[in-house]
Amino acid sequence: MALLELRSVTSGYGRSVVLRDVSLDVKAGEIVALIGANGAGKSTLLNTIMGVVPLMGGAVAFDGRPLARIATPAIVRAGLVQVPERRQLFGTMTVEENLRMGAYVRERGEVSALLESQYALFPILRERRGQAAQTLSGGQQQMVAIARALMAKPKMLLLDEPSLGLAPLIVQQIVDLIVALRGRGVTSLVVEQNAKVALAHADRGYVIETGRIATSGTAEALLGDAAVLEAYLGGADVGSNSMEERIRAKKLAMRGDSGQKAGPQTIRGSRP
Amino acid sequence: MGQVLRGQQGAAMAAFVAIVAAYPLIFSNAYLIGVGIAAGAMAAGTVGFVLLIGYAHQLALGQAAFCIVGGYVSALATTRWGWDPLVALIAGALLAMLLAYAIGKPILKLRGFILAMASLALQLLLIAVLQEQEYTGKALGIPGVPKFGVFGIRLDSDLAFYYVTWAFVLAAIVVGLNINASRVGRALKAIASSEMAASSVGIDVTRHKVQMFVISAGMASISGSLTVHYLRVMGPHIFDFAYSLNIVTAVIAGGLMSIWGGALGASIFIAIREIVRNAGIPYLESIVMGVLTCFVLIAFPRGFAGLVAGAARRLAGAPAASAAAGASPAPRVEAEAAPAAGALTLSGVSKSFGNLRAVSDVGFAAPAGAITALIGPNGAGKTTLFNLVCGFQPLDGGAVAFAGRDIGTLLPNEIAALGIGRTFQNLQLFGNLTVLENVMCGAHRHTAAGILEVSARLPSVGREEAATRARALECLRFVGLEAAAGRYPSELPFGHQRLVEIARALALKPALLLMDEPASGLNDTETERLADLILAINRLGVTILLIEHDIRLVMGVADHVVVLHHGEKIAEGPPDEVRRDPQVVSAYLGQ
Repeated sequence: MALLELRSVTSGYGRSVVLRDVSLDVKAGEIVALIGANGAGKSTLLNTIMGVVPLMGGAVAFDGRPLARIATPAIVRAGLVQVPERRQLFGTMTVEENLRMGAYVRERGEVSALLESQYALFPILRERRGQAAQTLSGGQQQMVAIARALMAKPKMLLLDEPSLGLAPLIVQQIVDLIVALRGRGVTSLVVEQNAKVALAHADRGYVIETGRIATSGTAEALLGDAAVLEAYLGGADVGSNSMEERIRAKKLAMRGDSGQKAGPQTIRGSRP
Repeated sequence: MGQVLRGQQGAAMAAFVAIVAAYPLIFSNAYLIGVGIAAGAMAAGTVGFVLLIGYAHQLALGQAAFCIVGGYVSALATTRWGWDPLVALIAGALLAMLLAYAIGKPILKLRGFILAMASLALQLLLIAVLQEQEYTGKALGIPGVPKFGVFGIRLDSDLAFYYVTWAFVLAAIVVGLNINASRVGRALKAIASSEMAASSVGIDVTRHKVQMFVISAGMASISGSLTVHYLRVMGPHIFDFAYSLNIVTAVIAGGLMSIWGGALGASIFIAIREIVRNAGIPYLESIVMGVLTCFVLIAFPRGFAGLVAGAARRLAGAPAASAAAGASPAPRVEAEAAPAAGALTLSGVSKSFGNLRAVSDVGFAAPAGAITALIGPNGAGKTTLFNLVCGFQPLDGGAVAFAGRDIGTLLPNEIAALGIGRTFQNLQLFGNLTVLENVMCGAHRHTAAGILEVSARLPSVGREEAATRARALECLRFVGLEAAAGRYPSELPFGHQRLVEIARALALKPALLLMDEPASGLNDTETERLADLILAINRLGVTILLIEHDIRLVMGVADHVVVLHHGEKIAEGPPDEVRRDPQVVSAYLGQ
């Protein structure tokens, strides 16, 4: 049985409908990637699941329980926790205070054990426990955001662009972390712009386009489908056809034809 | 959208004039006309309050201090020196504006509640001083102020005084509306939203704040003078602390974000005060106003003016907000940037925050016309370096030169005015302005209409606005977001908001563009489109310095790559060389 299940979900803001007839499911223990362009409705989907954006039609169920008309705090208590886009930390509060906020729905007695397990998972956060969250680097802030979510003892995480603004090395750490969390029984639905990275570690993926599910399948199937790659994932990255090569080719073409405006001498001058 | 608004403002103006003209014809007894005068006298000042607090978000709550200035000048000049009341009123307003100009710069450095307290303290100080002065009649004040007059003609009839008073209100409203609809009004709202972003597009934050403080002081002084001629006496406690609070509650009830709200709020307040007094419970008006304010803030936060505007819009049928009209020509953004003039050179640049060396002895050059990328782990000091270049933080050491000129000590808006545009990692769009207006703010430094021209709405102002609008639309077209012109930034997805920032920076016609993680939040397809955009901007002759984590984008577009780690430069060179540098691989790239 699916842990999270959406059936024909329609939602949006006021009169503008963003999501239409969206159905998806995530089984316990899975990592599922949700992919799509800016404005496709990915964040709206997560916010609808969490009850932040009202459901206009269809049904959402978590752990066999319908979520319609259930307030967000109760959803968190039921074990479904969102790690919001751009982290949304309490910037002036310390790392530890941020984590304690995450345990708001837990019993007081559980907090110190929960804190201890987050510090075991993220040793750097123990070092920084007294530091204001806004003074951390981007990667460390993302760790606080995830650790804060884990303080609620979730069965499932909804991660909204966890790699946003992170250096390549840190992106890899975050992805590894999501995989490691699965080993601890945490299911994940991950929204990512970094689609290929996300799919490389996911079991399945859904591609969302202008508010509808355009296609879905196992991660290998999506990554192996040339049409999907071309339409939604920015094309295949093989050999000389990688994005970088394409950009370089365009640059050369531009500079080559009438790109003289750019001042070729100065550019040449900059090269050793 | 401008057309629609102007139509609405026209209707509002017609309704305003009709109501003001008809009131004394309907309520013709002397008492009610007197009430009308009192309301008008207050309204002349509250309009300025909306400009200062509603639009510019400067919580100078003690503006009644300038009512005191106007009140005393009028009272003294007409009773002791035999001046014409109109001349005295103008003299009072000029003195108030002079005072406001003198204290404006230091006091407006303060923000939020501290500014509110300082401003109220100044008002209380003024009251304390004046009630000890023999010359101003101490606590008893100055009685026997004559009726108002214009050029030697005394207005014996209250009806005439009523109309003259409301003519001042009308003038204040016209000035307010003109400022609101201009580049100055836009700049004020930008300042209210983000002072950092406002100065990054070349808006002189201090200057605009002081201007509004001065105008608001002038209007408050006129309000004080009119009130004194209505009361026929001036004393130190007429414009006291409670009066200041009454102005605030009146403006909130009327509508803090509307020029009309100022006039409406004053009328509502005076009406309530009179009703309460007639019911035999004086001094209760503050309580009633307090309750009304709470109610308004909860029920319709945009005040009565917002309520009326909303109702009018529903009556007229919701107008479609179509900002762009017709098919548009191909982008003409080019030919505006100065070719190859944007070289940026850093040498020995250092910055510490407490014990943390955020940037340490960094030197490199971003050659004119080239694309230079700045990469490094999170927390390496890249954004700090941008802030140093843009003048948001002072340098601890080293030098920054742009186009051969040392810019290390310039203010952010001066640096922007030299032609350095930037986008922000965490987005600093003006949430209270539409997408188009955001981009129009970017063209601020290329428009010249000053506060006087704007207040009088000279024809040149309209032409300049139209040109700015056209240019902003071009910039939006350039980034592919023309269709979003009439929407608010918060309605757009994160990735598109980034493009709005790029369009805003382009409207500045930069010679150098600093982009802070433009691809963050974009998917692969969008990132590749961003690469096209960066190359197209560069092709216009704009020098680019780019902070970015998407290594494919960096290696694809950059001519030159600089790598920072722990605030220090660890590598520099062409992309392929940097990619192989073992230090860069272990600190940043991984694998």
